[in-house]
Amino acid sequence: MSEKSLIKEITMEYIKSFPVYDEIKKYMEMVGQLQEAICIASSGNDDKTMLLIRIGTVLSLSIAGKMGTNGKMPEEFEREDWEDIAQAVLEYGVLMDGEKYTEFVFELYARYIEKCVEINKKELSISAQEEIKALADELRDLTRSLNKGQFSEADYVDRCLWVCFEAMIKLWASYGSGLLPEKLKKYGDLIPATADYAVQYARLKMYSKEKAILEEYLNNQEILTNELQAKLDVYIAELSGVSEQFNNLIKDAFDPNFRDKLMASVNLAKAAGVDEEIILDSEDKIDEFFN
Amino acid sequence: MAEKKKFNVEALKNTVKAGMEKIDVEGIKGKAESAGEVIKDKAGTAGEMIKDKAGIASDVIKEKAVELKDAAIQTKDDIQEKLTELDRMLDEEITNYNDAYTLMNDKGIMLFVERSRSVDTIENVKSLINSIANRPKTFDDEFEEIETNRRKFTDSCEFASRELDAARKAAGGAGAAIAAGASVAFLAPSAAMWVATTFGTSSTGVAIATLSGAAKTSAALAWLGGGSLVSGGGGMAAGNALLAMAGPVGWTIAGATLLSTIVIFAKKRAKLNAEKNEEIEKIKKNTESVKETDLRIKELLDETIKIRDGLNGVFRENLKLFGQDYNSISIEDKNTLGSLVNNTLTMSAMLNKTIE
Repeated sequence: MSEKSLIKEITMEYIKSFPVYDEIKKYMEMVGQLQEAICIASSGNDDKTMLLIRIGTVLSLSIAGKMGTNGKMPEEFEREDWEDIAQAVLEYGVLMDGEKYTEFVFELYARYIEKCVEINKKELSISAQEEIKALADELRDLTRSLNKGQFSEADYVDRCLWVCFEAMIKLWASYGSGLLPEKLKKYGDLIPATADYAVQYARLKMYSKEKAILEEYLNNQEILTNELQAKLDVYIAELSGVSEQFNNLIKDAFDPNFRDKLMASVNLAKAAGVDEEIILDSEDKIDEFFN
Repeated sequence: MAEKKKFNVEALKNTVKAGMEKIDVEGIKGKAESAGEVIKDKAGTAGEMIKDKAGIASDVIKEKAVELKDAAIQTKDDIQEKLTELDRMLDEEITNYNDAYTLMNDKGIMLFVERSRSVDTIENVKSLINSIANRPKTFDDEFEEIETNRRKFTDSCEFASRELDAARKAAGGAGAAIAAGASVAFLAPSAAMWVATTFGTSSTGVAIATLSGAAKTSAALAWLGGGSLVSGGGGMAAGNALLAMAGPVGWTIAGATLLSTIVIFAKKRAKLNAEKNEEIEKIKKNTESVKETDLRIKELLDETIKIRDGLNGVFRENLKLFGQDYNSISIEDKNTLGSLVNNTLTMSAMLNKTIE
C-alpha cells in the first residue's frame, strides 16, 4: 500500500470512529490535502516542501494566536499584526535549525495540551485533568533527556509522538466525564481508562514487533558469519591442496639434484597450462626447436 | 340411563365467596410490601456493587495501562540497544572489508611488480636462446593487470542521517496537525456549533438546542470559551479560533495526523533497518570474496616468485652456452636448454593466469 493510501485509510478509519465525523467530513478534503502534503514532504527528499510545511504551520498558529490575543479576525489585522506574524514565520519556520524546530513542535504540543485542559476544565474530571497535564510534563522531560544526550533525535521524536497521541485520545475519551453527576462519575472513568489501555497496548505491540525483527536480524547475522567462515575454511583447504601439488612440481623443475630435469620441466609446463604441442618433451623436439 | 346431575351455580358461587373471605389480603399485601423492600434493598446494594465494580474496573484498567506503558518504554530501550548493536556491526564490517581489500590490493600490486620482473627474465632467456637457435624465437610476455574495484558501502552515519531526516519530517508533520486545527478555525465556525449543541448547555442553563440564531451562536461560543480564553479574553473571535483547536475537532484532527505520522515513521524506520541489515550481509559476503581473491593472488605471487627465481638460476647456469653452435653442444646441455625453454613457457603461462 502506498504511503498516500495508508495515510488516507488510517485517517478515515480513525475519524469515522468519533462522533464529530459527520461534521468533520466536510473538512476532510482540506485535512486530506494537508495530510497528502505532509506525506509528500515525508517521503521525498525535497527540503523545500518541508520548509513550506514549517512556514504554513507557524503561519497558521501565528494567525490563530493573534486572533486569540486581540480578538480580531484576520481581515481586521493591521500592518503591525502582519509584521509580527512574518517575524514569527521567519524565526520559527525558516531560520530555526532542524533539532530546535523539532523541540519547538513538541513544546507547542505541551502548551496545546495544557491549554486544552484549561479550556475544557468543566468537561474533564479532576483526575483526567491531572493525568493529561502530566503528559505535557512528560514531553518536557523527554526534551530535557534529548538535550542531555540520552536519546537520539529520531528516538525522541518517536517517543514524543506517542505521548501527544495519548494526550489526544485521553482528551477525547475524558471529555464529558466532568459533566456527569457525582454518582455516575465512576462510570465516566471507565471510558478514558479503556481508551488509554488501547493506546498503550497498540504501542507495545508495535514496539514488540520492531524488537522481534531486530532480534531476528542479529541472530541471522551471526549465522551468516559462521557460514561464511566455514566457506572460507573450505576454500583455504582446497587451495592448499592444489597449491601444494604445483609447488612440488616447481621444486622438482628447478632442483639442481633432480634426476630428470627435462621431465620435471615438462610436468611443470603441463601443470601451468602450456599447450602440450609446444612443450619440448624429447630430444627430437629439442633439436627441431633449435635447428 | 343415569340421571344427569344438575350443576349448582349458586353453590359454586357461595364456595368461592367463602374461600375468598378466608384469604388474608392484608397479609399478602404486607408480604408483598416486605418483598418489595427487600428487592429495593438488594437492587440498591447491587447498584452500589456495580458502581463499586465500575470504579474498581477503571482503576484496574488504569493500572494495566500504566504497566503497558512502562513495558512499551522498556521495549523501546531494548530496541535502541539492538539498533546500536546493528550500527556497530555495520561499521565493523565496513572496516573489515576495507582492511581485507587493502591487503588484497597490496598483494595485487606486488604481483604486478613480480610479473614485470618476469618479463625481464623472459627477455634475457630469449636473448640466450636466440643466440643458439638457428631461427629466432619469441615467448609470450604480455600480461594484463589484475583488475579489482573497491566497493563503496553505506555506513551507519549515512543511515543515521536518513533516519534523522525522516524524524524531522515526522515532527514537522505533527506540528502541521495543530496548524490544521487552527486552519479549521478560520474556515469552519459552524463546527463550533455542532460541538456545543451536542455536548452541553450554555452557562445560562438554557439548553443551547432551544436557542436560535445569534443567541445560539453567542451562547455556544461563550460556553465553549468558558469565559477565560487566552490572556486578555477575546470574546467571540477568540472563541472561534480556539474552539476548533482546543476541543474535540482539534483533538480529532491532531490525533488522526499523529496516528498516521507514527505509522509512517515506523514504516520508514523498519525500511531503514531492513536496508541496514541487507547492507551488512552484502559487506560480509564481499569481504569473504575479497579474502578468497587475496589468497589466490598470494598463491599466484608465491608461485611466480619461485618460478622466476628458478628461471633466473637456470639462465645463469646456461650463460656459458651463449652464442654457441647448437650442433656442437653436448646431449646433457641440449636437455638443459630444453628444460630452460619449457620453464620459460611456464613463466609466460603464469603471466596470463587470471583470478576467477
